[in-house]
Amino acid sequence: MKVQQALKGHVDLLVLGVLEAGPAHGYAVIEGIKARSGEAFDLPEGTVYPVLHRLEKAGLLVSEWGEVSGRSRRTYALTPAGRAALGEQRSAWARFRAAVDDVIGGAPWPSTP
Amino acid sequence: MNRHALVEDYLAALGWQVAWRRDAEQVVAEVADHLHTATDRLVATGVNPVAAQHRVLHAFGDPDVVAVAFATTPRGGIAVPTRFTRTAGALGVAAGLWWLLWGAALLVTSAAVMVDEFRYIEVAGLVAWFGFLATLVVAVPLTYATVAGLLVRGGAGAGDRWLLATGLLAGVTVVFGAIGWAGIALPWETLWLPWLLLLAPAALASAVVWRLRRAQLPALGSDWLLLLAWPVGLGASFALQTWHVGPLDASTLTYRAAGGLGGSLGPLLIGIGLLARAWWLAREIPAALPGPATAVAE
Repeated sequence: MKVQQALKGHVDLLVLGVLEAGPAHGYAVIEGIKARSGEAFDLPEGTVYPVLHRLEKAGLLVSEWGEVSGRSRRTYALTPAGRAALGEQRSAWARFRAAVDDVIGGAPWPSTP
Repeated sequence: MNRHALVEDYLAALGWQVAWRRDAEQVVAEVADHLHTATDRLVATGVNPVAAQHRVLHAFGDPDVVAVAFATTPRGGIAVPTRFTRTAGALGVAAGLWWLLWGAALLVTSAAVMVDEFRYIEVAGLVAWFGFLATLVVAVPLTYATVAGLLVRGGAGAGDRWLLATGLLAGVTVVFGAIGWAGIALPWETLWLPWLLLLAPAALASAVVWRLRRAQLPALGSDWLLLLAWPVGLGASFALQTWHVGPLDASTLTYRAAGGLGGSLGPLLIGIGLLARAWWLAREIPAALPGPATAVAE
């Protein structure tokens, strides 16, 4: 599994998070997710591109085409709306993580009399 | 810049799978950059070029899966042409022809009444009434079938609210059409409902088409005809009656022929708009994809 299944629904956040550092092409975004997660998040690479396209369509990213070593390359960057969305998703994730930690952290629950 | 044979084969397969997209070339170019860059990096570390390509392609995923990921919509469907959408397109062509036929019949009979009221008034009334009823039970349901095809083509999944609304409207229209054919006189015959039953398919088709145009599907200039059909038809009908064009119908004290003449523009414009959009839908090559994406990134 299990890490990959837990990822479902959070890929947008990961992509936005990687792009916060600066514009990058799809391959670099995927490599960034892999590297930052210590190889724990090894996504099916081809399925990340539809996510990038969807985020661009939603106005959270903007892309532009250039040429590198004779190849066409599409580079993505965060828009102001994307930055705002990243901030919101980050806060939501922090609350979620704290709540999960509280539940599974092993802290003793007051016993019923 | 190195070209890698296995990668090129993969790109050809993916290109075929996403050919229905307006941005298919860009998708393939973007994937090509990824695959060649990744392969070059592996080769630079000493990996055999063939082994490097196998590893890169494995990591990227099967072209079928990737194509489905590109097509899968948040609404649970996959936005690709299928046999169903093609069939809906063919039904839409039939519906478009019917609308055109009815519009032409209205136009001709209304014009005939202008020329010789006493000779043609009766036949004009029959054409208007039975044409209306036939349109309710034939052309309108076929139009809704086309709308359903367009919705599925746009990625509507089972339980989609628009699909349900389309089915409901089709059912209501057929029921009232059948009541009309049965000769049961209801107050609705002289009220707003007949107009609503005729306006609804064009309004729904326009709304759906405009949603699809936002979803990277080709925009057709004729889509505007669907949108403007009834505003133009009703406007012309109202204007000609206001200007007292043609003979006055003594029984209703209205200029019915003028109304029919202007109103015929509605079905004619719907017919042309629907015909063009349905022809596009019917001619798309169905994609052979395995099913909605379940990949983690979606």
